[in-house]
Amino acid sequence: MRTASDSRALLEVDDLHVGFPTSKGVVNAVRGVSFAVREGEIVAIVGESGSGKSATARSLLALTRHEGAKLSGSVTFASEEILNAPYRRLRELRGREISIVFQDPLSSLNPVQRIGDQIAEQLRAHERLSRRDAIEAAESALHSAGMPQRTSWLRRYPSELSGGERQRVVIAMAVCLQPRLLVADEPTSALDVSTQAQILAELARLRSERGTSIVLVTHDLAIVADLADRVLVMHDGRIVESASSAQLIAHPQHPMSRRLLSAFAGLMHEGGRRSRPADEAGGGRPSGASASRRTVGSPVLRLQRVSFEYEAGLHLRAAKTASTAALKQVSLEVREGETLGIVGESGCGKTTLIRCAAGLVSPSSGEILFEGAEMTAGRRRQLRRLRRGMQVVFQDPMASLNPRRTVTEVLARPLRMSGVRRDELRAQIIRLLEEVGLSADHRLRLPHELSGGERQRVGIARALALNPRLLLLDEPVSALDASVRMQILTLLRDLRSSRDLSCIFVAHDLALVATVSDTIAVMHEGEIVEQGRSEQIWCAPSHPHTQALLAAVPRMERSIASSELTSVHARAKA
Amino acid sequence: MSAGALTQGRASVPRSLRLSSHPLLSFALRRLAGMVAVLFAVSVLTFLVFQVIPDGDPALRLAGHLATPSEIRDIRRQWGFNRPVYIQYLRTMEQIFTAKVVSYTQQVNVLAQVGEDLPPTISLTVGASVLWLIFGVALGLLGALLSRGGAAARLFDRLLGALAITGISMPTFLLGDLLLYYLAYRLSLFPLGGYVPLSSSPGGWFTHMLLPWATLAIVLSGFYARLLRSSILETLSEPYVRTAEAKGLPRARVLIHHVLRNSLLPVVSLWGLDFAAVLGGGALLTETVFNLHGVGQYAAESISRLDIPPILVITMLTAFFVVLFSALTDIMYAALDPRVRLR
Repeated sequence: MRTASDSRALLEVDDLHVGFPTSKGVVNAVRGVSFAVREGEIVAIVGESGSGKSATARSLLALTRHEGAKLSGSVTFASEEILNAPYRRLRELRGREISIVFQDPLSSLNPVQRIGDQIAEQLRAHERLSRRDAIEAAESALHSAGMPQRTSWLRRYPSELSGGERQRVVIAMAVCLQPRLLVADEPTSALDVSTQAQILAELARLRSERGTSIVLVTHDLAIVADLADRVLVMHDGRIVESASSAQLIAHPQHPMSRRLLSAFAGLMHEGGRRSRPADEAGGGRPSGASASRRTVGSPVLRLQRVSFEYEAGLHLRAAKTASTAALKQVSLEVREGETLGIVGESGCGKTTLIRCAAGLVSPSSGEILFEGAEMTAGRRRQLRRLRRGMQVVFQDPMASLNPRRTVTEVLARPLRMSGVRRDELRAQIIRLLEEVGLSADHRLRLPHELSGGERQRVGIARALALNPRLLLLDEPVSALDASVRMQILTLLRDLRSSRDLSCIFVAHDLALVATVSDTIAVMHEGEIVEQGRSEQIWCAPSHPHTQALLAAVPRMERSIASSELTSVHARAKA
Repeated sequence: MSAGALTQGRASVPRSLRLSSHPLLSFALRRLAGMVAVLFAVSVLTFLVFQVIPDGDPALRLAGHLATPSEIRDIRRQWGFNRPVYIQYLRTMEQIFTAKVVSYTQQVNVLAQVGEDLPPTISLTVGASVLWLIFGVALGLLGALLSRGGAAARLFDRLLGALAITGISMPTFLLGDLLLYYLAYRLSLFPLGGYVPLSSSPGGWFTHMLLPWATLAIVLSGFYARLLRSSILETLSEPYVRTAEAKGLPRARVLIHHVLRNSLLPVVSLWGLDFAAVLGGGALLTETVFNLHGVGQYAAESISRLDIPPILVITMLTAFFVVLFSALTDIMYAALDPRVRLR
């Protein structure tokens, strides 16, 4: 690997400003950013969402120009100005000299074009190649990006690949012409941890084997610690701190850097130290219960050998037509006051499990008992009544709230259903909002007028409006920034003890699940491969898949979670 | 997933759950069942409507103006109009499906008449639908591109939009009459309506069809242009279009392969349904204005005479085409978009 100091600057950004004109005036996303990237260097840009890091990344290829942005300052690549280059020249540079990988691999691939064609198209845009040669080159690009040799991927469509495979396709496309600079805009935040680790290893390999310079945009400091040479912390459109990654993590200077770090560390601490219901319920419960609480609570939800298959449909142009089993003979139970964590890679059936448990889909076989009542056999009416006792909080609060309904309207309906009288409604809505940390002012807002964290709070308030005994949390924080994530987890912890809720917490991040749950079920390809107490799974995983999930947790995150859990484990053993 | 996994996944589905082993066949069977249901519902409703509307008594139609009450009574008995409604319905259906149904006013075989009227309607449908699709796509694409240009381009886009709205809101009987009056009557550029079969004179067929085609195309292409324009503007903000730009593709390639290809999907499904509606005699006014003697004009005449059998037959024909083409459109859609599953 080349050292960064003895090579010249490949990319220089000088006083970059990016403004997006809107109906309410120009929004200045980037206000005077300057930095340089040397050959073979990995520079990370870190910041919360809205800090301007993504607009900066897109401006490195002048992509913001197509979005109608006002650009000023300069971006030079190998001493050539990018920002005002003619399209013809930009087109030559893009994809050949500078490439970019976007956050969401599904939406950044054309859904109706085979992936072989999408890669071949890139090659043929820059080199004189026959169609057949381009397809061949595309195949080898895919293999070198870590796609398994045994399968032919070229005729697949993006919808037929998993998230990790899609991101590999995007990376293969970005690096197939061996660009000198790769811009990666949150390349792993839509992926699960083990896939994230593989993608990051891929980026590290690119740098060491080809000397590719990389600009890595992320909100996740754990990634930075492992990969980047230098870190730029952005806040409010400006770079507030620039340091080597070791230095930044050891001695953050700017308050924002400290906040990002503490938010991240605090996330783990808060999660780990959250009070277990038994500790707090001392007054209400018999004193002997706290010691062996887990065996005392009666089961709230029990799944017995539940299987679910997606119905076969006809895809005219797709490779797969068969039905796929999403759940295979899953058995588990949640006890009163307990939190069950379900962890697994994307596509392992976690969400299907939640949908079955909530009665949103009926399983192909098996039994689901909620508070002793059979959910699979019940009539519609009974199912509907049972369903009120458990409520789901979804991953993407923007997608699960009706964009045309105000917060009041979102909350009023479930409150009315649970028997709140019309004249009490207003007071109840305010009480509910305050319970989830919002104020009466939020009543009349529409979802797009709320921040991500506020939206998820509304999603939680909506779930609580029906007074559920069981809360099903489907990746409730994975769409949120690290600092907001901690606040939501704290809220969930408080609610759980104040309302004596049982929870199922689904996530792809083992460290996160381990710190918030009492017991964990590890899922892999529709099956539960390991089940046990959190600290036991964390400290002594037995199934190879669990070990792989654990190994994929970034180093820094692992050490913080470990310090919490090993102490619990030691105590439990003693 | 490998081919092995594919067959394995399939074997795990219980045989009883599958309607048929081939998915396309099971799709066709489901749609066929749907079509029977639709035809039944449409025919019953149409039939019932004529039982309740005032002056709907078919015996009056058959008897003519000078009939005596006893003649009318005879006709009623003879034609079975005194029998219960469901018997009358079943008899009419039987007559339709054995091709023996006759119209009340002219007493000619309805199916034979419809068969005679189909060629002009097919000519109208095929020609006009190609025209409105081409103009719609061209104007929609142009509008979308202009709306992202400078001030002058945006003004031109607004102008196109206003023009499209004018076209959409122009009734065909007005537009058709205007075209006939100025281009055919005053300037004598085109014949004054009527239909010439393609087999007897291709040139005559073409000149006779040109104005009807234009009339339908002007009305519908404005609609398609607006639809495509907004679909394109939506697609332009998709992340995969940004990816295409970041790949360094030529502008035209981004536009055609990534933007237009995806934006055309909603247009395709609408086009299939409009095609079916016009084919089933839906262009009553256009056919009547240009005196094409097509199915639509036959429908219009039958309605003015309250003549139930032809109305019933043509309504069912339209429903048949709409169901058929919506199934074909679904298949086409699934062929264009790999994410779509046929159900």
